[in-house]
Amino acid sequence: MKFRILGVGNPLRRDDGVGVHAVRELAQRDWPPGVEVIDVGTDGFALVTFLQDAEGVLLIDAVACGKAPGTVVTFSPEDVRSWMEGGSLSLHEAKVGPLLQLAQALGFCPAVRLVGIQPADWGWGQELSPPVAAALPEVVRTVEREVTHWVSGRKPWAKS
Amino acid sequence: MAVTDLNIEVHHLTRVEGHGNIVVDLKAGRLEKAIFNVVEAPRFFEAFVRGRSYEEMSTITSRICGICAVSHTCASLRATEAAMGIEISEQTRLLRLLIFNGEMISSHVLHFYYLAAPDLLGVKSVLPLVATHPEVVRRAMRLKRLSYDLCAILAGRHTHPVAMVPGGFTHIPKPEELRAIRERFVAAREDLQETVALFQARPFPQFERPTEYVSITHPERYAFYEGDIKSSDTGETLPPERYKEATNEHIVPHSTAKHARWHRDSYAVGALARVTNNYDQLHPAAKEAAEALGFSLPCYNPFMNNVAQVIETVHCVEDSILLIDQILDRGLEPEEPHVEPRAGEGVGVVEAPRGILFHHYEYDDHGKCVKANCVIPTAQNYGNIDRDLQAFVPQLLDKPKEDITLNLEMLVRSYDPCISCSAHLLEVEFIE
Repeated sequence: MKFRILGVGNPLRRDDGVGVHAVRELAQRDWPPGVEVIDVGTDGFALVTFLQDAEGVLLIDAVACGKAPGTVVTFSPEDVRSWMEGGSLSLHEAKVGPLLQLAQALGFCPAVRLVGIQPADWGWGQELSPPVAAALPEVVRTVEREVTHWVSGRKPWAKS
Repeated sequence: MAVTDLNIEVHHLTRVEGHGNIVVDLKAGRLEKAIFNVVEAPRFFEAFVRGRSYEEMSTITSRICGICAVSHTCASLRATEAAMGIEISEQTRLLRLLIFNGEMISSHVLHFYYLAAPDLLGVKSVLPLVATHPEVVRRAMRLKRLSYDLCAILAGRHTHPVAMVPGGFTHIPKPEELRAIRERFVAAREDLQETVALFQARPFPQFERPTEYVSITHPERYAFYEGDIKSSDTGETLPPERYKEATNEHIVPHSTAKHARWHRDSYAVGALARVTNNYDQLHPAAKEAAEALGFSLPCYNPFMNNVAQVIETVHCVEDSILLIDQILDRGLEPEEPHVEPRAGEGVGVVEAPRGILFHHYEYDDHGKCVKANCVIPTAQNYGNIDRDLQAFVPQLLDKPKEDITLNLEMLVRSYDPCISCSAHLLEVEFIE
């Protein structure tokens, strides 16, 4: 069994890097065998290779979904109506939605869950905005809950 | 009949790293404008690192680019090491040479397979390729993963190489890890043959414009990690600390990035510049690939940068096998990099996948950065891209507008421009 926790984002762009900040916290913890914690940064195609030999993948990323800054949302790709082509949205022109499609087309089909955090500020800077920084403990708890859920064999994830 | 009036505006050109626009304006047969317009935020680097400790510099700068984290890390480490007079061990040097190969393969494969190949195979992006040419995408994925795993063995991970610090490595790979990945490099030769065959069969547009190529050069090896700055025009070299005599950065109105020039109005950096300046030092297998791909010097066709990337990928795979053997023969020893911070100024010059990269730092007595300058490869290419566009447009005027646009997009993509550091947060709309 292989389960990957992937933090996505650029920590030089404030809240955009929340996935990486979360992974820094999560990497300090003990995980059951087979669980890997990886800082993917902004290398989109590396993300696809991490889906290759995994059974389950949890992506942590800043997600603009029109909620209050710092709101944590947990969802599956099937819950998403559209992966928008936002102006600044560039996982190097490879967006998470299409990357998941690419992985699927290649036959890499792990169960995928996303933990998203609504950002407030993605300008230049290394510090998270206060509402997003305050949400980090909840992100960590959410990830731990999701992984426990996975490891105990209760997959696929129930809709929360 | 040739077009006399033409207006092309490609906003947010796809399949490049970041955001730029192509603007062409032709009136009554006269080319008023042909430019690559960069709309990214201006450079932020100097302000960002001021007051930071020497220990943090490479960690911060590795995030400037998600694709060339190793290059920024090494340019940063070399600048710090030069500023503080830090010597590194031969083992560290060899490990750094090896990790550069990993990064070159990773970045080149991303470019020529995911970003350039769709043009050659007549599709819009890599996604439809999975249906029409699944073996191509799988091969790309294998090579990408191989390079990623090499970087992970050496530095913890590629995207943010944690084990690389001023003075050396905090983590040394295990011999069995190196032996295992060596086998995968040997096996990758087959994928490379297929790669060469793919690009052999797909000719690029014929377009030439003589230009100056700038890269580093080293007396003993094909240079990515260490060397002096070389011009193809004069063959002259400059030591790293005199880089400003080569870059001569200046501001142009249509771009938020500075442009560069040396002996001409503009110069080119990247794989084609390196292959031009250092061809003799390529591995024989890479020279064979060059011949098979119809590559010969001098080459002034910017589209051949794609081919130069393929040639370099072959070189890097072969060179990695040689380096792993050399590292294993020497035997690996743990290192404990130790640095006494001191005031000083230093320049680090390396070849990032997209071309020559400069980091220049000044430190105070406590090892805090007081001044920093970072000249990225893509910014050095902008002036050359503009001049290529201006020379290329008049040759395309008997084509339909869509063809002209596609050709211009391919031209810009050939430079593999990395407009750097976009935020990339996910925007989603949920099914309610």
